[in-house]
Amino acid sequence: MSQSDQKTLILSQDKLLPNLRDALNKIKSKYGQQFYAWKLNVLHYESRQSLMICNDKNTLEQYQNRNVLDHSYQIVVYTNHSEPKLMGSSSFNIDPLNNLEDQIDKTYQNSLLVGNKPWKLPTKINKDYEKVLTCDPIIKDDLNSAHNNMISEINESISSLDGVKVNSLELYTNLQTTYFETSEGFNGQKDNSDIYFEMAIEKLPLPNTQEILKYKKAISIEDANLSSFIKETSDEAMSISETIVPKTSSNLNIIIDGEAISSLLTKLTGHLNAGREYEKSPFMKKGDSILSTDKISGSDSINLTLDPTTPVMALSTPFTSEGMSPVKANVIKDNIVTNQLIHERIAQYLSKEPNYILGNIILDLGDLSKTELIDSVEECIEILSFSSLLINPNTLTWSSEIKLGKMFKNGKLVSMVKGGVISGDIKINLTNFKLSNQEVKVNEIAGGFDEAKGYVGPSHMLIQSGIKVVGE
Amino acid sequence: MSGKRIEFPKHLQKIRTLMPKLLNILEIGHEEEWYSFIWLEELKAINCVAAVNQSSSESMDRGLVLRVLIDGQNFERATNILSEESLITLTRDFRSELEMKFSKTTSKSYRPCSWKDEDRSLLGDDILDQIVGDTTSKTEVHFSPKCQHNPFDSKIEKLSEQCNSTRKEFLKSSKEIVEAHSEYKELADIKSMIRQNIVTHVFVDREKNMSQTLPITLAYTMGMTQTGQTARCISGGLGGLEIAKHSTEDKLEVTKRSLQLANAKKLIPGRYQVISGPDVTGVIAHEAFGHTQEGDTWMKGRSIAKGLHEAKTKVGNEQASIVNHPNMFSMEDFAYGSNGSYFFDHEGQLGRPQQILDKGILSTPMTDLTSSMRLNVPRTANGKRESWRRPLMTRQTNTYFTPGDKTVEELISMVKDGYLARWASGGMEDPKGGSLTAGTAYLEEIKEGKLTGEVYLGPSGGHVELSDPVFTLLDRIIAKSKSTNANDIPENKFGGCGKYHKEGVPAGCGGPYILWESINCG
Repeated sequence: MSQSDQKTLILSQDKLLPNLRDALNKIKSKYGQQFYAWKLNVLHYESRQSLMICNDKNTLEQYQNRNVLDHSYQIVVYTNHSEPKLMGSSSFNIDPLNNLEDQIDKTYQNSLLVGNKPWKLPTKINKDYEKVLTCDPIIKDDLNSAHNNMISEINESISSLDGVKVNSLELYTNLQTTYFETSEGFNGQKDNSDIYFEMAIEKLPLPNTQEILKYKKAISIEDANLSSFIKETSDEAMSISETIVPKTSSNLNIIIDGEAISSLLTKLTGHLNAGREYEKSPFMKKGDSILSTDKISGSDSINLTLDPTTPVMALSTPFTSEGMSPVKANVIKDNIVTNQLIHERIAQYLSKEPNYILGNIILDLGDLSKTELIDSVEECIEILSFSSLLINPNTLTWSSEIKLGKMFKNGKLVSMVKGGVISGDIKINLTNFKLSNQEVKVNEIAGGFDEAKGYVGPSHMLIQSGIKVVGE
Repeated sequence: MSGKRIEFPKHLQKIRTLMPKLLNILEIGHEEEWYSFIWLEELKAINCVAAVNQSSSESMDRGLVLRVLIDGQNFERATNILSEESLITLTRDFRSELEMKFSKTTSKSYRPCSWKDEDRSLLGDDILDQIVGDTTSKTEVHFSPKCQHNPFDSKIEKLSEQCNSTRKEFLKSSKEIVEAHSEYKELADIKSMIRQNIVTHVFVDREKNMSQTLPITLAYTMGMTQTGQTARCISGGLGGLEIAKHSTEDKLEVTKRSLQLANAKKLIPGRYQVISGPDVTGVIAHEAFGHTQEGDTWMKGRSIAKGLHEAKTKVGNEQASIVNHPNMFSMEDFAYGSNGSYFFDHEGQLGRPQQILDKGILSTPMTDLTSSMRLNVPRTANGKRESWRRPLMTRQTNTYFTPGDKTVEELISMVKDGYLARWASGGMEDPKGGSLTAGTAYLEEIKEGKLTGEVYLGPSGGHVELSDPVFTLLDRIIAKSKSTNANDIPENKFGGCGKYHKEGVPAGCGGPYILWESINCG
């Protein structure tokens, strides 16, 4: 497999697959019914990575250029064992240069050490896989050109900036094809593209102690729109003035952006996953309110749909990890849970009907512009960036230092804000909030410390309840 | 540590033998203008989880990187397709591509250090003992820590048995506590996990051919209440399964503490006197002048530290001293290092300790090869990458505050009204703005020099953030606890770093218990 084969990549025709499939079936026959089933995954990943710095005239210099090719195989073996019956499963990353049967046998033995409540793997698909656009065709067509064109776009945009110094940039353009196949007769392939762009920039003259570090994550070049992003980030850097530490308060109004909204709501919808009910972690079921107290009069409400088919979004997919066809559905209407997310295994455990709901968060827009949101309260802080927004997935509480913000009084910007620790509780915050009427998209590919996120919804949210800050 | 060193894995010998050939294909005839190395890494991982939902997994990930440095630019090809034929083709193609791109170069190549020219003064016994005889560029030198249990003999059965038994024992203990205290409700679950990663690196350039095997073993157990409050314990570091053992104190943390947290009070936001334990102290060290002292951050003009170093500005009081210590193979009363320890970095630089902050005065930064060359500062062993799939950057290894002269009891007795912060919960820094935030899972109340037994969560019921401008913070160290370690190396906790938010690498951090005059807590 070379780096130039990507355009026509059909992983079901991978050269190792017939041998791997044969070896899996051979070991399955060897152990009879105790070897219940298998799944295999093939991954082909290519990445172009450029790390750049700028000189005083904002001329780019690449100091690290990388081409990465990853072609790998993984298997999962399911076993039925013990009396009373237990189900085991274990995964293994196959080394193609080593004996396949030995590796599968080992995975089988590992699986016998796991004793979970039995469930039946699906043998029939709930509906045909939909055709979902999960990849930018331009990136798929020619990864090198796509990456190099974006570098040119960045270069051009940077050289036209005035009054700022660009310190560093990173651009990663990634293309991944995955294929799966199960002993129960399911198979599927999908392509995923993603772009990661990072820019650190500061206002001239130097030296100063304020810097804007911003990231753009997207699935397509069009959505990344790097020229606009560079311009917006530069404008933000230019707007920086002297900062103050916020005053300690138990009831602050804040405005957060689409990225923060997406983070909060991703954690909130996590509570709708029926797996949490089985694991006895805090969860929400159909009919539950997402609020911990009554909604305050005048507040907007959360109306949220999960959609696995939105084109070129991070959580769009033609199939679930169980090989079923994912379903689009409203999950929260007027702050009330309308659907739990129930997949095959947990449905059997909880004696519920599976609904296969998953996907990108689609949140209804509000009525006001961002300016009107700011004008609607006497005082508020717009959080431009959190130092590190940590959200507890179990308690749904969160906190962070304010890396940079803007303080508004009666609709007027009075100062920049930096420092102070801000915290909240999502279930209280959503009792009194307002959403903007402008739409944004947020995409985050899973990896590092982040889970995957896909969000289409309001660009800003004004939160008027349950925000505490410790500062001066 | 007693035990044996781990031999170089035989199954990697074939590819190791190929690596000098690849290096020749890549740079022969270009040594005056190019500097190249070949990097191989293998990660063998086994993992077992005992919980309501059990799981196990085993994986082997292996990849090779070809690196060429020309005119200050680094070019890399990375792949996990490792047959001899495909690697030779990849190397030839890569060379041709670079020859086309650089028909002329403007600068001489970097000259790597030979074994003969290495300064051996700070390498330490663990490295020196393994450099045997007259080493030349062709000598295959291998490093590993001593282990009682050879990690290559670890079986998933053993891991499964150990985490199931831990879970059972801890669940029993928590039930007994609930039965004895009517205010507590049964835990939702206790999850116990053991993971062992055996990392083997091979580095080949024109002067050295060396390898290291680093077994990183972790036992992690977490208790969760029905309301979602959690308490955890972590044991492990650089060593075999023998180091993945929880103590009685760990058991109490997971069982009793998580139950207590369900009824914990919420902190009133404000400034308080705080004692940080090694875990939280370490995060402060890592964030305070850890990230700010990373050479690539200096190189990009993104760090406040460069100017402060050049102006010799004092950024903390006499107690503010921080060490970067890659070749750390024992600490406090543990005969093993943390998961951030290694013998050489991912560019073949041998590990040596470096004081990055000395009594409030900043040194030159930690560096990788690129930042050291561009900044014209000494090279240190801090060039690391998340994996062969990711770029190399300047990264921290083990970062810790130096110890002081008090006992922990003496520190507590010095607090009239304050808190003890023992369990870290994330952290972040602003290297340009000089602020930091370090999270702690909860605070233990101290009144009139004694722990009261009360625990506090953050103002909104989550973890507590400790946040201040770095200079303010480092000027407010009142006292530090002493170390029992013969080399004065305090405990470093098992940890990781994401360089702001990505590129996760192992990074130990620690230090003594530190009493801070006041910190903003919210």
